[in-house]
Amino acid sequence: MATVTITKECLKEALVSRFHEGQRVFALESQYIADLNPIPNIHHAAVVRSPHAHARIVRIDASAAFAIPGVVGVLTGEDVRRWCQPFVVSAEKPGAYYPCAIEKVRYAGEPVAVVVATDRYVAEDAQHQVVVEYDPLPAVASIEAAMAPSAPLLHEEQGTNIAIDRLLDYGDVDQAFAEADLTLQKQYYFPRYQSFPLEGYGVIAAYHPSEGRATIWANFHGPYSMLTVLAAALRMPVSKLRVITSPDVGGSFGNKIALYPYMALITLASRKVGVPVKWIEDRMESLRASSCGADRLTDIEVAATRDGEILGMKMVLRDNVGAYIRAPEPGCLFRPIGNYVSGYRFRNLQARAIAVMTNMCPTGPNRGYGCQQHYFAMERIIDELAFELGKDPAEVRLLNLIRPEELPYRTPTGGLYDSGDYPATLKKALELSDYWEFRRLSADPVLSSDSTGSWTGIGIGVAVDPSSSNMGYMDVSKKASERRPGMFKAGSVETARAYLDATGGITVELGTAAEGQGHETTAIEIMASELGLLPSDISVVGGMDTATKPWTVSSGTYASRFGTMGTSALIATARQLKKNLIQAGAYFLKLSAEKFVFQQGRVTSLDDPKKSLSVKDIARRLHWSAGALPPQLLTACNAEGTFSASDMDYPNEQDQVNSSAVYAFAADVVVAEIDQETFDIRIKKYISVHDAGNILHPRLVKGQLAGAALQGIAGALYETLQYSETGDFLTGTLMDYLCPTVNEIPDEMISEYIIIPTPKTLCGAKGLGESTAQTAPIAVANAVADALRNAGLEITELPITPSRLWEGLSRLSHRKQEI
Amino acid sequence: MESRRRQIVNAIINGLPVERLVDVRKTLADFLREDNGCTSVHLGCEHGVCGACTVLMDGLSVRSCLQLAAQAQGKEIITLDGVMKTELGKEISRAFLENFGMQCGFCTPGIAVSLYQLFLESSGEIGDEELRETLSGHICRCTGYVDILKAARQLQKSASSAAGAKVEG
Repeated sequence: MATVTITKECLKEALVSRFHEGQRVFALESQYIADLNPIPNIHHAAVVRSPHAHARIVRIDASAAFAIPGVVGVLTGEDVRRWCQPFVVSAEKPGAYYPCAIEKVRYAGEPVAVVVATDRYVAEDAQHQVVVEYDPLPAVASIEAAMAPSAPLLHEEQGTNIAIDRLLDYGDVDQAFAEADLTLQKQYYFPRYQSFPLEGYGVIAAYHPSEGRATIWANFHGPYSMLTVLAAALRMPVSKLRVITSPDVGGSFGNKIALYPYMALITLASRKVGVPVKWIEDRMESLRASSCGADRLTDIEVAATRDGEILGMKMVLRDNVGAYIRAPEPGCLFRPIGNYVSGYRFRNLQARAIAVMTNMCPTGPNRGYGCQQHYFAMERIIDELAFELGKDPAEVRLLNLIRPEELPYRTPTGGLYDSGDYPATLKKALELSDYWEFRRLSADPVLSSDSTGSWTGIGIGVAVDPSSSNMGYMDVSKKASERRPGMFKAGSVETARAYLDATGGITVELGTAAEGQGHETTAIEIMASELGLLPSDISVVGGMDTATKPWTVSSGTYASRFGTMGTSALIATARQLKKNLIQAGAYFLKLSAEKFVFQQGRVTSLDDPKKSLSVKDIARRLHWSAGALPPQLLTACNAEGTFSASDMDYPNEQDQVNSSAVYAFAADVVVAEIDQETFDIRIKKYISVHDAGNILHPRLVKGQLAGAALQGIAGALYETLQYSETGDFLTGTLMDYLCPTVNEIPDEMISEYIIIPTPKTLCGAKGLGESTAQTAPIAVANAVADALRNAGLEITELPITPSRLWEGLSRLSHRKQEI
Repeated sequence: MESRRRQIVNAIINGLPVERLVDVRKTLADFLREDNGCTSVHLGCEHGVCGACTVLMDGLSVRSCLQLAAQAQGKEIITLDGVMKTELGKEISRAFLENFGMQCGFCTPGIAVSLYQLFLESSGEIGDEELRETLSGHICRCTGYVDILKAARQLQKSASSAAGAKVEG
């Protein structure tokens, strides 16, 4: 497939100067959840949390809290048991998960009670007066400890700490390994980190007892399938639950998907005390008890020919999902299933997917959901394979990447890669990074000597980046025989709406709720260019109100959904509106609609260009002459566009499923330098090339790539949520949990594109904002591994810190001395 | 109760005099947000690390989450609301918008206040080192800092002319 230029509909350079969300900040108009007081008589909550990783709750005595003036009520596990049932989740042996601990606490930081008072200060005073007596139990705080035969059990009724254990088998792995010239086996560990948004969780809930209804304001952005989970837990019909997203959301990166248990908790608190309740999470609560990416221990084995052709892989994937397996988990294991083989051609794959429960915070999506964990092991072993074969890692990748003429390509796991040129994408990254020149210089013994005081290495990371999830993938967590009967099609659907007012202005409603991606800015540009109108003619209503906006369970902002599904729904809406306007224009000019076109904001006759009406003219007539309109034109001012992704089947008997609607591709090259004295690691160069189809908004896209890359680099080098062996949480403040500042960014950063539009979306765009969160940690790890190869240190886990390097290298030198 | 002890605070907030009775333990951040309508003061960590709540107190940048409202007695406080009344503030907003130096906007007010102080105080050219030092007091989780740095560098070139303006009511 040839590289094509960006289509006019999707890109206008002029849009750079119009950044609506940004203007709101400087106009002091932003409205984040903490700023809102949308209902009278709001009271404030403080959550009492467990100091223990694992303990039985003997007794809760809240009487001292009530002695404080201003305290209006306390919610405990007993109330929760009465009004709530466990959150549903797709797992064989889940534990019963409630928004608040009942009888037992299973991680440090787990909610035990909620105190409600007239203000937050009083609520926090009272929080310390709630006496909870615990009977501590032995805790498990690692995958190995939780899987040990005599391990303490988190959920005794399940008889095991393993929530899911599925063997997925594709092709003929045994044959592949029998035919191989070389096999290689490794173990890799990917850590838990939380690319936390700077704004924490926030919920304002009002329970209306007269109607058994609740209104919840929250910085929750979907997926709205979680609302069905929430409603079921609260034993309420979904229609009785109105969820309103705050107009501005201060980042999420997947983290706020796991907000719904707190939406349940605060709704129950409102029900208990009879007033609207507001809860704004603080950073310490967020680090210990919101959500994070699952840490994963992977055993991986590769079979290859001596030329470097990969014949097959075997993997054991063990995810630590924390104390409860919480939807949308086990997505970390199964969301990438269609792209389990990444961009490679091998057809034989065996993957055993295991979800392990430990006495740690429950996990959830973290930008790139599941992909970085999966690709880390795969991309690391490919480097080791290349080394074993005496080949360059770039060469081995180029040999194994799916070729452009093979697309559309059905992966052995069921994914349908629609478009792209993976080798060209990688080659461009190699070229931009002077990869081969780096290799030439580092092969030279004089130029690469240790006398520079540093070790330098170059590393590659590639990823097939899936976007717009197929809801059906989740059921791979169950054996085919145990899946829900009658479910044959899954899917992914998005809707947008537009209204034409009497003066020709257009108001657009989005079904997605943004958290900084610039959906409103992009939506205005797309609608203006589709309709040939000025951006000032278009107004966008962002956010979500489940009572007034169209939504389905797949709606929301997740899985790079706006750039693919959201924009497609917008374009479908604009096309519907154009169709309506052509009908109306033809009617007013008393001619047949077939003879009209819509261009540059006008409905014009093909035969006689003088017969033409502007959108404004038509709008005025439609509104002010409504009584004279024929029935088919009565709703012409309203348009609704729905887009449904194609090829989204339910998993088949062989566990194959096209888990995402669209697949982009990214290739990163990193040059890392390690100081030989301090072991400080610097990223000298970060090069990233994307095949993400049409680029919707070049400036917003650059920002997304840079942001995701630093989150990936942070995961590789700095950020890690640490626990002691007994489950104490050790990184509860930003003094312990190190997130990068401006001083940690790469010295040089380049992002470029290969533009191959996808036929699967109406705008030709593929997902993009999550890609570098997947590739950056891998490329950094491979670059450090390359730098330290001569020193003999292998990189098998993240984060790579100076102290870990020092420990590893000291161990090696001791060993050498012993020999 | 002891914790409910109150005190009258007189301060100039964004150029306007205010007199309010506040709990002595109330933070400056909460006082600005809840009692004075300055919701541009954002709370990202509440322990003095992230910089989102940065405001100026008598011209010096402080983390308003680590200050008490009572400490504002007799002081002049400037938040983004005040910064935006000045030419330099408009210059800062222009630089951030043109360079897409923000995404979710949560860290932006604190950064803008810090840059305002930096450029207001500077008599001459601001060096890259100084710029990075100022920005390193702020955590941004969205941008990877690249476009923030671009915006700040644009200010290096343009802001000296706009500096020197005072916030008035």
